[in-house]
Amino acid sequence: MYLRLSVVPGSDPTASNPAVHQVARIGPYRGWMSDSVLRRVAAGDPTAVDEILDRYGALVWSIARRFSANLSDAEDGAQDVFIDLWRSAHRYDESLSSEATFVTMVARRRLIDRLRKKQRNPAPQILPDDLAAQSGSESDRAEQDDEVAQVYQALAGLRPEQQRALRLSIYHGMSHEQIAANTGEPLGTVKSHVRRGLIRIRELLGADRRGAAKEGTV
Amino acid sequence: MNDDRTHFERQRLWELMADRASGDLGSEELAELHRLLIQFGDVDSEEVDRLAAMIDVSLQPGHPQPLPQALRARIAQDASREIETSLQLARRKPRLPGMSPTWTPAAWLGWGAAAACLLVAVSMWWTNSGQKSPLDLARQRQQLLQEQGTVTALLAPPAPDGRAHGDVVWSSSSQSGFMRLQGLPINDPTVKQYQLWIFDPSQDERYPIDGGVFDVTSEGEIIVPIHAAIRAKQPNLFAITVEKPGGVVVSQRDPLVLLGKVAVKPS
Repeated sequence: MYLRLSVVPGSDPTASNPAVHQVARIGPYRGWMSDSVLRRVAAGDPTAVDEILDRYGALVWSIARRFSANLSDAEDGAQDVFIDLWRSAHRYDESLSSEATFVTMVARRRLIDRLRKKQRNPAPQILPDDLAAQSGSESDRAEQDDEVAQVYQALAGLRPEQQRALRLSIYHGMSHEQIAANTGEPLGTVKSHVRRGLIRIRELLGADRRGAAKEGTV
Repeated sequence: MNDDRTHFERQRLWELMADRASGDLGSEELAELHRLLIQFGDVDSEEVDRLAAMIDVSLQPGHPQPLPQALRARIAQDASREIETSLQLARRKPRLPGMSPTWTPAAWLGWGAAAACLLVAVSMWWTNSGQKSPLDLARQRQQLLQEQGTVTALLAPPAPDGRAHGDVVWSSSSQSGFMRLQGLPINDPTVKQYQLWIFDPSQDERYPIDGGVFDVTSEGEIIVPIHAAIRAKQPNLFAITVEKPGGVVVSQRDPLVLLGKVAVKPS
């Protein structure tokens, strides 16, 4: 029901079979972990701008459209995000996350803030490239980012209702109330799915990292 | 008993961070989040935001649409300005603002009175100040000034010997505003940044609204857009502190470099 009312069917391939897709769709963002272009921006290197736009322009544009009611809003939002990015590039800490995660965090904050200021809920608009999300190739998979792969696998390991709540909330930008209205679940249950889902992913990632550290010491 | 309470509050803190990361946090809950983040200083306040960002990235489409060319050009143009500002900053030797007197919570609450005493002198200076600022920001600021309901505040240092001064223009209806500042020492953003605080009667006075961090990049007049973290309904006081890079959730208010009450319009 929630898919029919809120999300264009087929827009989220993981909803149907997470195991099939795994991390197939991160190919275009390969190289996120290398060549910290954010550091170059922070150092005042004007040539880094094109590189940032090449690497993360589509990422920010995708997020901006998901968190905006229309294309005009999305354009304004994307501009705001990049201004924030130029200003906060010096805060990037590669020991905490990849550049893509940092860029996404900056983008989400700005766009959520814009939504709050406009006092309206995000209207999930699934645009054509999201439908193309199912087209990740094998070669893309070979380029997968470890950090993103771990998160994706952790997400796939959640209970279906938690996966759905996180996907609708974090990816599609739906409020908890919208999710409740569209899934028929009580608001408290939706909140619980989101919170517990995040906690579980954190636990799973912690276990992965502890495991990796253990392997590294052998 | 205390352990139970601490455990419950930590759990609550994580829930609130999860709600914020998923874009579902009201202003009351945000105040609660701020309180708990102070209480549990060991907690990484961005951890859940990063986790949500990683989930978002992991669900990104494989072949996303690129930025529209016209939009990309506009963004690059914005970037040029920002990069130029950074280059100017790099050419200058960073200087941090002088230390202001330590402010206790009681003194913080008395900012309004202190500011009022200084506003007259600053107002006289400001009247004679006519330096140009970047045209776009100046134009936007001017437009905002002409909007109905826009409020203004003159900013002055808490110490009488302070050289810095400025003003704030704020519109609650559009939730936008600008600071116009002069005399604040240029900062090194990798060491310290300036942060604006907005006092609003709808908020607990101990937790003013974060108005955003910013850098001072030149010794002349600068105009800085305000990015309030949450809705500021009816601000009555603005204050600027010096904080660690990226700013803080709640300021220790030391050093406090500028403050000013919102001017009461004649009836």
